[in-house]
Amino acid sequence: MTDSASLRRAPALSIAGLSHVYGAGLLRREVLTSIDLAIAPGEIVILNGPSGCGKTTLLTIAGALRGAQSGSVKHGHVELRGAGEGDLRKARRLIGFIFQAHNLHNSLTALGNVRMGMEAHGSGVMADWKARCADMLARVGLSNHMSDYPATLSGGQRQRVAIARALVTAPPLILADEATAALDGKSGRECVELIRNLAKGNGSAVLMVTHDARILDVADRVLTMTDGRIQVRP
Amino acid sequence: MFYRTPLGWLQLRHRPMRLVVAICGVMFANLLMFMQFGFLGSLIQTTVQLQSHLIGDIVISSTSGRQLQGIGTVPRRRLLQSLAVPGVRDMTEVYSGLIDWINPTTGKTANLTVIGIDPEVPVFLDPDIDAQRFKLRTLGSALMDRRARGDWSAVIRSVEAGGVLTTEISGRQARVEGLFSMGATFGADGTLIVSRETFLSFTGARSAGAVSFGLVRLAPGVDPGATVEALRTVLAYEDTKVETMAEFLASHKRFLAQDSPVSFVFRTGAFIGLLVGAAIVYQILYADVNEHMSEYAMLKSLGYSHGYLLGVVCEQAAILAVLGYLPSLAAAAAVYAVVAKATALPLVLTFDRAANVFALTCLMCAVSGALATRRLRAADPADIF
Ligand SMILES: Nc1ncnc2c1ncn2[C@@H]1O[C@H](COP(=O)(O)OP(=O)(O)OP(=O)(O)O)[C@@H](O)[C@H]1O
Ligand SMILES: [Mg+2]
Repeated sequence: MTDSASLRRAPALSIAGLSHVYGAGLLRREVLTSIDLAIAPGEIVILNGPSGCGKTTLLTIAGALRGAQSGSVKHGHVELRGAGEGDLRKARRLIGFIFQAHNLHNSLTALGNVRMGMEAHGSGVMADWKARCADMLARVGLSNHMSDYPATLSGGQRQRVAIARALVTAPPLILADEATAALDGKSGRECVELIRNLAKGNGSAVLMVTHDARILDVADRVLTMTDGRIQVRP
Repeated sequence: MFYRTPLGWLQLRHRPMRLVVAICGVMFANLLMFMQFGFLGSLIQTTVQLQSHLIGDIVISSTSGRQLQGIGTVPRRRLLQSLAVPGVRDMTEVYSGLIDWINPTTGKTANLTVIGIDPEVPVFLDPDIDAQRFKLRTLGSALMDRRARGDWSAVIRSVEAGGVLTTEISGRQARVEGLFSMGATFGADGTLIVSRETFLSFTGARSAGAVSFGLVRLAPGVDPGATVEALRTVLAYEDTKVETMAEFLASHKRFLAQDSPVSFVFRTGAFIGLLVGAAIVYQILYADVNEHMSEYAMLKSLGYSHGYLLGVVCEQAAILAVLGYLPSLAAAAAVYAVVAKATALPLVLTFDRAANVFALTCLMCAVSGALATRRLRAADPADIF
C-alpha cells in the first residue's frame, strides 16, 4: 500500500529501462532486462524470486556499488547513470546497506561500528555522535552491548548492530539483501520489524531482497523477479 | 570533539601477537642498522683519532698508505728536502708501526700501535702527552694508552702510583713512564708513544731512513695552499704525496667510509637489516589488508574512499615505524654501552645517527605500506552482497 502524499514527492529510488550485462563475447550474459521500478519515500518493498534471477545485481546498481550500463537510476532527483566515482561515493552515503553476513568490522565495538556509519559523512555530523550512536543502539535493543566486539555477539545481535549502523544517519533509502537469511525465524522476524519500524519513523524507503516467505507481510508491496525481469502483477 | 576512528591502530591492536611480531621485526632491523652504522662510525672515528691529535699544517706521506697502520714509508732524505721550501718553519718525522706486547696483567698478547716521535718537538695537541714527551728521552721509555683494550690495571696502577713499570717489549727492556688517553681502534688494542730511537729498537727491522710521514709546520702567516704546491714541485716523486692536514685526515676518512672493504661490509649489513625489516613489515601489513578485505569493501559501501583505506594502511605503517623505532633506540643505547665497554671502541648514539636510522625506518615502512596497498584495489563493494 502506498499513501498518496508520499507519491507526490520524488521517489526515493526510481529505475527506468535498466538492463545489465555481465561479460562479453561468448561469456556475455544479460542478467537484468529493462527494469522499471519506483519506490516512494517511506515505502517498504520486498523483492523475491529464484536464485540467480538478478536480485543482488539490481540491488548493487540501485545502491551505487556498481555502475548502471543503460537506462536510468535515480536517488530522488540525482541521476546515477554515468556518475563518477566521487558521485557514486556520495550517493552511497545516503543509503543504509544491510548485508547477509560479513557486515561488521571485527576490530571495532558495536558502538565503534555504528560510529563508522556516521563518520563516512565527515566531521560535520559528528558533534553529538556518541549520543546518537548510543540512542540508535538502544533502539535496536543493544544498550547493554555497546562496547562488545562482534565476535562476542550473537548472529541476531550482530545484524541489529548492522541495522543501527545503516540507520543512524536516517538515510532516505535502505537496501537489504537476505538480511535475515543467516538468522533463525524469531530473530529474523525481529530484525525485519526493526527495519520497518525505524524506516517508517524516518520516512526512509526500503528495498529488501528475501527468500523468506514468512516476512512478506511487513512490506507495502512485494515484487517478484524472474530471469532479469520484474513480474507485472495482474 | 571529533577525531577520525584510528582504524589502522585498532586493527593492529586487535591482533596483539601479530603486532608484537611486527614490532620485533622493525626493532631487529633497526638494531642491525644501529650496530652497523655504529661500527662504521666508530671505525672512521678511531682510524683518524691518532692523526687528528697531531700538530702540523702539512703532511708528507707515501701514496701507498691510506690508513695509519699501513701508511707506507717515505725516505728520510726526501722529507729533509722540505726544509728548503720557503714558508716551512720546521719538519718532524713520525714513525708508526704495530708491535706485540704481552699484557703484564693478563698475560695475553696485545697488538699496539707504536708511534715514534722526536721528544724535543711538540707533536701531539693533547697537553697531557705533550707535557710527558721529555720522559721519552731515555731509550726504552714509553707512554701508554690508559684506554687500551683489555685489562691494563697492573700497568696503570703502578704508573699512577708515581712509579715506572719495567717490562719487556719485543725482547727489549722497556719502561712505561707515563699514561695518556686515546682508545683502541679496529686494528689495534691501543697506542704506545716512544722516541724514534726506541721505536727503531722495538721494531728491529725498520731503518731510520724509512719514515712513516713527515709533519711540516709553517711559519706564521704562510698560506698552506701555496706551500703545498711548492712542496709538490720539490717532492715530485710518484710515491710521495703532500697534503694539508685537513686533506690528510679527509682522505683517510674517505677511504674508510667509501672505498674500504670493511665499510662495504658494514653498509651491506645495514642494508640487509633494512630489507629484512621491510619484508617483515610488508608481510604484516599485507596479511592485515588481506584479512580485512570484506571490511574494506563494506567501508567503501558506506561511502569511504579508496584514499581513506590507503590512509588506514599508512597509519599502520607509521605506527609500526614508531613503535619499532622507540624500543630499538633504547636497545641500541644499551648495546652500544656494552660493546663500547668490551671493545674500548667509541660507540656513541649520536643525534645524527638516531635521526638517520629513524628516516630509514620510515622509508622502510613507507615502501612496505605502499606495496601492501596494492592489494587494496581488490576491495570491491559490488562483491559484498
Ligand atoms: N560479477 C559477476 N560477473 C559475472 N556474472 C555474475 C556476476 N555476479 C553475478 N553474476 C551472475 O548473474 C546472475 C545474477 O546474479 P545475482 O547475484 O544478481 O542473482 P540473485 O538473484 O541475487 O541470486 P541469489 O538469490 O542466489 O542471491 C547469476 O547467474 C550470476 O551467476
Ligand atoms: Mg543474491
